[in-house]
Amino acid sequence: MKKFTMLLSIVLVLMLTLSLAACGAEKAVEDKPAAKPESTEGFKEIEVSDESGYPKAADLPKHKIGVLYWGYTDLLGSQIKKNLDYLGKEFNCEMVYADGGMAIEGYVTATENLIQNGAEGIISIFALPGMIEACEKAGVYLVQGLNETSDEDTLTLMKNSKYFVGMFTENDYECGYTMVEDLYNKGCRNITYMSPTPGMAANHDNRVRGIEDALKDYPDMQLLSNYRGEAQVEALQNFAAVYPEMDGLIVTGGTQGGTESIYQTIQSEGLSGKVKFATIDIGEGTAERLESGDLAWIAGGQYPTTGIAFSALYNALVGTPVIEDCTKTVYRPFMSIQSPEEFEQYIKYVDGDIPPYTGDEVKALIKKFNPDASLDLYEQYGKAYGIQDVVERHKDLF
Amino acid sequence: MSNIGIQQKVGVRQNLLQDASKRNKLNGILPFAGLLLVILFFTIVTGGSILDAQNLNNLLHQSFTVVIVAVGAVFVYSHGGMDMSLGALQGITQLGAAWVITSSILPPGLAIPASILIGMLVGTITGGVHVLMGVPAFVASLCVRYICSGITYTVTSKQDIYIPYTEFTQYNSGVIKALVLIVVLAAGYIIFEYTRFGKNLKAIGGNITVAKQSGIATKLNIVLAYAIIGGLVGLTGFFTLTRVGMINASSGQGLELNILTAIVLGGFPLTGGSASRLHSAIIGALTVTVLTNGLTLWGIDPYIIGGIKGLLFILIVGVTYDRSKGKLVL
Repeated sequence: MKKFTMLLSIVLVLMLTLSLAACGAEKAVEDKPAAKPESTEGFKEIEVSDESGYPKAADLPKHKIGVLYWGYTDLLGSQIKKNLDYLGKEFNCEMVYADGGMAIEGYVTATENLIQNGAEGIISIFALPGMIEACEKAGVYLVQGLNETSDEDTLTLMKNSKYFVGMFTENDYECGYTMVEDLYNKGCRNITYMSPTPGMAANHDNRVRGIEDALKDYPDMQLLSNYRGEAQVEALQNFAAVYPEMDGLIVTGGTQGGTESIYQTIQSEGLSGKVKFATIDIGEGTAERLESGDLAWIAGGQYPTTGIAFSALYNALVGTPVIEDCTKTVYRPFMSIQSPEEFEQYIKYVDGDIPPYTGDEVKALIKKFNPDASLDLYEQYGKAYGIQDVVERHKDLF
Repeated sequence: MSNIGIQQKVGVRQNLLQDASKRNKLNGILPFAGLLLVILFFTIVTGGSILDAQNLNNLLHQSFTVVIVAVGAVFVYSHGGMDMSLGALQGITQLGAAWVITSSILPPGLAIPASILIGMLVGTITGGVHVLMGVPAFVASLCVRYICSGITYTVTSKQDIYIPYTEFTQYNSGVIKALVLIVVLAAGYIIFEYTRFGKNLKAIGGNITVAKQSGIATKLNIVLAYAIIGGLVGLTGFFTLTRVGMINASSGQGLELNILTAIVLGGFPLTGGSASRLHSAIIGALTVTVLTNGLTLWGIDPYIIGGIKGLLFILIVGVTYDRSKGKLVL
């Protein structure tokens, strides 16, 4: 009887899991488009126009690409997956996803497993020496997206590798600097900032360096306090209690629900209307906070960078590499949003049915399809990137 | 009491002993069977890819840390202890090794002993706080974990620490790792199963009061157990560093949970005692590694992998849990 009960409970757990998965796959038709960012649905398939001259997915050879990020359930992670799934379809590539787990060594393990799974190329947030060597031994291409490496020995390893493609990331330092500058221009003179534990994420550390340098350049702006850690809600509560003069707050990102928690705390601590908030990573409640004026500046739209990294990897895979110096990071800007109108456009054009770069636009970066594809073109894409750029390119697609 | 009554009682006792013996044999076989089933399953679904030479080499590298630390964990869990500091401890042993490697004063060869010594020292502190201050092992190791994490966070706060990776690739050879594994497994097996120290730990796990009354230096044995696991964590810290090539604040994180999972999956009794067997922890460690490797080779999405592992965990623990004693049995 006991065994029967146990088996029954296991079957029930399985049924519940499967039914939840099925619910998740259903289309949420009632969600209002401007209420919150949506990233669980796939992008619309866009027909390759005859004028473009680019091959259709079915005419392309099949490739298997591994993807290695911290996870795919938070907003940014799900956007990355959604975009790469879309490009996989456009380029006839099977996308295989893995995560690195809690510790950095998990990324080496995941790389080995992806290689064993038949991946011909890997897009990853990290390019650790152990990963570069594993890819080199297996003859698998590796590209770093949304992060960069600055260690000299690792850069030498990359340079000597036949299979390391390059690094593509947002300019985190510049973003940190801009947040301070923006708050300064909006009249803030007493600010605080919060960021994850130092050493946990290089991109956040770079943003902090940008903040610190900007503060040196604006000496009449006072840093009341800062917090480096994960208990940011509690830290903000403390700031609110100790520094009544606080008029500006910077958080270097909160992709796993962090931004929403900060919005709530601003409201619950009575900081609404007193403190201007600047941050990265768009989450729920952004529209309302931009409307109320609490949110002065927010940046997002970084997930297409993984698509750009995909194109560089594809170029290498088909034998037409375009990045000559793989140790030189190709920087791309964050997409900054400062008004409810811009946010509405963001929801429609960046987080809507069509990705910021369509299959054709990514195919234009592939030298095999477009002989003019070069590093310059990659840089042009980066320089132009912003809300207005996407609106301009895609206004006829909606 | 009549002869019939005595015969009935003896009969009942014999039946109970036979049942217990059968149950122990079954529970001893189940973890092995579980591992074989997992391997068989993934051999089928991956078309044999899990057993090809390259992947066996991957499995050697991927199981190296968890198997070696599981050997150390046997000494801690057999006396009813627990160590929640393993991940953070591995982080600072890596830090120590990296410091020696990048130092211009010390020869890089000292990185291995330095890493082991740091591990043993911290392990001794954990054990010492537990037995001398009477702090439960869970709390003592949690405190040590915070201290170790704090050190790693502070040191890596400015930037990630890299080592000259190409100078240490020889330590990533499968042959060296296989040799180290054999030595650690053999030494662990002999010490745990055949020495007084190993038997003392099982006695402490069985009943600490009786162990004390039998003249066992319980405090010394417990501290030694934590020093051993610390030393082994240090050893894996060095090899992890040379495998990855860098350290950041996340280095080592989650190791204690992997070990706890391995211990439970292998059917090792969490309360310790005479039923503790080294091979249980090793089987559990291999099962954890093969599961993670196999699910990725199968092409399962990472967020589903966690759910599947959780379900299998429930299934295996549900089957091997001995409710009559209120503990996991072998």
